[in-house]
Amino acid sequence: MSSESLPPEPWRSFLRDLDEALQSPARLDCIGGFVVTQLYGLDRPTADVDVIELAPKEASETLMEIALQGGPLHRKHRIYLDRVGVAAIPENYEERLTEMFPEAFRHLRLMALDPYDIALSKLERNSQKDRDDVRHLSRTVPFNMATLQQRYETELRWQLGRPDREDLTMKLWMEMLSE
Amino acid sequence: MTGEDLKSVRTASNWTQSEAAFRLGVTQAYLSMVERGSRPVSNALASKVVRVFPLPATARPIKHRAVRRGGEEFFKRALGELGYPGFAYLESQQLVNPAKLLLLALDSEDLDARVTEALPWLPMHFPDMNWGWLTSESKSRDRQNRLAYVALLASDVAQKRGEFELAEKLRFHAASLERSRLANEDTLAHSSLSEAERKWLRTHRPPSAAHWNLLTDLKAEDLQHVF
Repeated sequence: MSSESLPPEPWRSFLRDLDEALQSPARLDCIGGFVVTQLYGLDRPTADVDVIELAPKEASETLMEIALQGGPLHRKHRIYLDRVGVAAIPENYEERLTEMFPEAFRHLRLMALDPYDIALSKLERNSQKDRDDVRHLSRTVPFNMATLQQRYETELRWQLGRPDREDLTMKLWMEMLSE
Repeated sequence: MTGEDLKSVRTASNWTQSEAAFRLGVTQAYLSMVERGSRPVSNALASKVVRVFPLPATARPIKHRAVRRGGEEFFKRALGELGYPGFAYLESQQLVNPAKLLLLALDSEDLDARVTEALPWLPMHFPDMNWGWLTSESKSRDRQNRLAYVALLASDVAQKRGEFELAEKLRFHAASLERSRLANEDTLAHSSLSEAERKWLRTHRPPSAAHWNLLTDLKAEDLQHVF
């Protein structure tokens, strides 16, 4: 296994420990800063791996027990898994997942959301760091604005609690990314 | 740091002058002169003192020690070294006084948003930092609006956590800057904001950010994960 196919430290050791704790294959669907930094070159710090799906259930229980904030692996590596339960994600995201570090681990498979899906998962929170990440993704990928808008309208908007408010946020994003 | 400070940390550690001099890499005679005030505490000696003695971070040299800023990396590592959970996984040899670190950050043109959201953690965790120096230096650099807003954010977080005395103390520090509040519009160390964001923030920022003429939407609710 070449070192290029493994994440840098401290992620490498943390994920290896996770892998060793598993008895059977497990899949983590990842979003947030970890994916943006590892796949899209964003030089930003992040202390957690944001996960929206952990499968199967048995593996999920094992991983949650050892890798959540305050757990033994957090105390050891000072990074942790964060299960994101509230983020709204475009509905067909699973069809667009890509594997990060394929075959790097025995049981663990880290799947990354498509960059448009990652961006849209940040829409409701819309904090400064979210906007900065979206701007970075938009320049690095680079984004097709029509695709971003279309995915928002067809796959995300209907899921949102306050779609009128998010329409305004989306308008801000489109203006911001066009500058 | 003065010679008197040095003497008090040495005696608090129950070390003789000879033991301390050995650990600091100086002669006992020189240490004696420093402690008596007949020689100044050099930057090099002050740096060694903070490494050798179990001093609190707020006792680290603040005025004279040159800190070389290495961009985002410097702030991340220095915050991590001080114990900020978000960057605690990063290793650092930087031993920076929290007040100095806060000033350097507030005086930056463009901070990573994750570093910016870490700033209220400094006054929360080091409420006894040298506020006199910090406010005076902030004013001399026209950063008082940024400092006041960070102190207010920290106060709001303390309030939400039920730490009312600390909340009041931090609010007092912010209020003490009221008379020197600047009328010019500024950002919270994020001058690269796009025009669209600036326009949006003028109507969507919290009232206290508007009061301090800052274009930011950072608020205490966004900081729960930080503490």
